[in-house]
Amino acid sequence: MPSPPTAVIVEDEDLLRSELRDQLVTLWPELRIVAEAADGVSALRAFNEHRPDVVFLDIRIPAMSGIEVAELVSGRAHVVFVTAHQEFAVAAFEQGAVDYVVKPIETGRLAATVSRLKERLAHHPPDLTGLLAQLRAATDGEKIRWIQASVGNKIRIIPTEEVIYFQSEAKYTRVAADRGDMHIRRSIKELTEQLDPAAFWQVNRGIIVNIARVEEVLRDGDHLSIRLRGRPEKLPVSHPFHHLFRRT
Amino acid sequence: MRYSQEVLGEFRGVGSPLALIAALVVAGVAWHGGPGSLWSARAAQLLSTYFLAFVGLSLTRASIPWPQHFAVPLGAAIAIPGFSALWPAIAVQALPSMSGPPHSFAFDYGLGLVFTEALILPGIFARRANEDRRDAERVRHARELEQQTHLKQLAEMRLKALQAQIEPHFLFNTLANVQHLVRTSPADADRMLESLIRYLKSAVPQMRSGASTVGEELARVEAYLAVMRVRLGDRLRYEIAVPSALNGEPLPPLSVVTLVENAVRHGIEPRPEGGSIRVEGSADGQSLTLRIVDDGVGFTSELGDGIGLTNLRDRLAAIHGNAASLDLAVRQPSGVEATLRIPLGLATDA
Repeated sequence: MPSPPTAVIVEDEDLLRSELRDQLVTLWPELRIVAEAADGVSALRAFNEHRPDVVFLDIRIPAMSGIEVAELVSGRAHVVFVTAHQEFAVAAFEQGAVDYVVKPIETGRLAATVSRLKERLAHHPPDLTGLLAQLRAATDGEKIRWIQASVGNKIRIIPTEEVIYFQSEAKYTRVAADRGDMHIRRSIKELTEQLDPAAFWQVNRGIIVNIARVEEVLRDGDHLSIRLRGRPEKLPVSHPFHHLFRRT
Repeated sequence: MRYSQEVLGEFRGVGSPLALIAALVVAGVAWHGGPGSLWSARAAQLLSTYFLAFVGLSLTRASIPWPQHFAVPLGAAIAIPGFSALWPAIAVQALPSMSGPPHSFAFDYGLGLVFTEALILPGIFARRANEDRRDAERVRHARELEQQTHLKQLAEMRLKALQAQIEPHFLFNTLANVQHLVRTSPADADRMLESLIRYLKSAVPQMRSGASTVGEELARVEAYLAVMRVRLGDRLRYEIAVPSALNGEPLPPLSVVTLVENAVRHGIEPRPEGGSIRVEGSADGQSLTLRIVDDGVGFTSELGDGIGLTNLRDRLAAIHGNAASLDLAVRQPSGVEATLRIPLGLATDA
């Protein structure tokens, strides 16, 4: 007789873990829940120890995101995501390439997921790398909103709205803000990828400005420079970026 | 159309008492002298003077600046009495039988002058007063519009904050917890539902009125932390240490709870062992200080996304300008300290 299917449940909230366990016991009595984990690190440890057939995986868990855990068990176990809100309107989910359970659990839907899983168990677990890359992109796509850096002997956190401009210096990038200047390691190039392009414009090779702070655009023949509210300096705008300040 | 209405208005305003007096004078004069007398001619003169003065006044464009405004009365002062003074002269020539005191040009001119200026000058001043009043009204109207836009923006910001607050993750995760408790421990389910309901209900009245108090904010914080305590168990420790004397102090709605939710979501939840949160409050003479301190994971990298404070910062700036502040600092060995400073006594959105 083939050994019964095994599963690991990964969910950080105690009561939710218990609820999923209780419902699975009712809907799938043959399933053996071999371990439960409350964070990403314990989840991987449990996986390596027990090599379950199925992993029920909450997406928001401490220590490591559920997506990272999924990437590591992909192809080796069937993954069922558990989520409180179907925030990822990803095609693969809709096509049924991977299963998911929504919290609060509706018994009927969990029963359907269980029957699908029983069928999948006959096959090798699919490789989820593509889907997971999409999920990652959906979550990582957020633009940065705050900056942390040392100011004097304190570490300050300021929202990006308070930044007047970023300027590259020899080893660091200088962050000019109302409360004082600070330095961060991110390069101008990295910042252009991560800052909200609707709020921050690169104006020359080494400077990104907060466009809400642009107070004056100065033209001197072919040269263009801008002055920002709260700062006396005039920042040069190089030719490739002249179009940003063209009068409409 | 409007211009003539304005002129008519001025006529009614200034012209009427003068017109009445003029009419009385003219009537008196005519009656005194009788139809054939020179006084009748003078009466006609005065009437025509008044008519011409009024015409001159209407021709004064409202937009003429002050120095030029006097050109009309001056011109009128010269022309109109001169013209009207001719009447008696013509009358005497035309009807030699007229009785009444003999005219002298100077007398008639003087009479016409007095009459003209008595009508035109008040009219000019009245018009000017109207213009000033209209300008003041325009400024007031513009300011009202600005205020309305400002209020509208503030209302939109409040709405956004409210929408952001009822976060689906929080709601559905909490309900999922209640679902389990209903079967396993109904009394606990009841308590949790109560906390959830308190949390959800407390946002709405505050958002409508635009103002909240320290007491109301802390009640919402307490409801939120009570829910999270059930969900996270021992992973969440918390303490609210704000002197009850501060309960009545005004605060922008949802300001404190936003910071507490951030501490839980970004500081405590990501940690397997969890952490603790402490809410402290104090007031000195001028401002109220609220501190939300946690020992969670803190900010793990130089840059980060979405701690959702933009809306709160915007509202603080909109209400208090530079007088309020929100500062975030990293704690050692880990965690975040958020400090909210608000001037005492004011703080309404509305």
